[in-house]
Amino acid sequence: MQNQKDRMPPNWQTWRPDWLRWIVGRHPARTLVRALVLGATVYVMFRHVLMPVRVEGMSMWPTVQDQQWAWIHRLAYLRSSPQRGDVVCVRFSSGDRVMLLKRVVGLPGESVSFRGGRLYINGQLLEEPYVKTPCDWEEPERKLGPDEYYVVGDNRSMPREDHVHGITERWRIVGKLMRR
Amino acid sequence: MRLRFIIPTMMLSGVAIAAWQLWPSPERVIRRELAHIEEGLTYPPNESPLNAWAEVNQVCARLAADVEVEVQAPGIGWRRLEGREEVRTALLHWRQRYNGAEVRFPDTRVVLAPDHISAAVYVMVQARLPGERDTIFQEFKLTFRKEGRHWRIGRVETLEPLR
Repeated sequence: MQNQKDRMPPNWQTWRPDWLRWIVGRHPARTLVRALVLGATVYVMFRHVLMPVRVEGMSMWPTVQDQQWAWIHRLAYLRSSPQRGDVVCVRFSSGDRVMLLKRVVGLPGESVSFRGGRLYINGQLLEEPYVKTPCDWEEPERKLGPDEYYVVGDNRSMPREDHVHGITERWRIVGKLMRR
Repeated sequence: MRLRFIIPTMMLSGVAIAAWQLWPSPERVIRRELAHIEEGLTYPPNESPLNAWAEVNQVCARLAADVEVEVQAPGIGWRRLEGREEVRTALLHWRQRYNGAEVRFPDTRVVLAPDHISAAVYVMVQARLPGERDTIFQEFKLTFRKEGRHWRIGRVETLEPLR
């Protein structure tokens, strides 16, 4: 004899096949809200807090390799300013999907020059243990403005003209490379 | 009861979408033009000359007759072109020199002038050539101006984020 419950017609307002219930749960409205909250959290997290980036090019070799994935901390300079030695992302005017990855070597108000491939800040030689390649760059002294930073890559094995480096404004620096 | 709200809401949404499509904002028109240019600059290897000619003409149709192009890019150095015909010749020459190219604009920012008849457009151009390992990235500033009902490029210049 069949159970009385089995003989009752299904309630079409709440009945769902098992596979659909597995996806949307018992309360689809709540599941939708949870999914939206999760999506928004992931978007904010990976776009505005900790951004994954893929590095293309050898400009920061050997600190960062070509095709390597890295994380950029976008809130790193919310309450502080970039410091010498920080590896930072520099954005373009068009947007921030493509950015430059460079090291901050000169701070606002300082003078930066290259002599015989060595970097001088305010006339003083700067020790750069992260530079592993010999370099013969020559660049006259340049004074940085109050809101300007001098950025350059760690790989200086190429001719100076082929290496994108120089002065950038503070607003272009959008985040700091997270150490692995 | 519910239908009383749903049907007017759907109708209003439909009207809004239709209006959005029929009367696009200048920014949307410019972005659409950029999408056509992106498409016209991408070409497959072993492209037929007829197709190359047609595609280049499509790109040049979006340039003002007196367009000025000043570019400084890796591989080509500094170049200045004046007029649509010079640009057409340069683009055809580029297509003959490189057998295929994939061009994308991953970043675009449109800054409309207050008069709404000109706009500064910042575009990141990403180009990949077959056989080349590295991708070329170069930022450009395009100055669009309204000529009649069309937005055309009056000036193209390269931008450097670092100086």
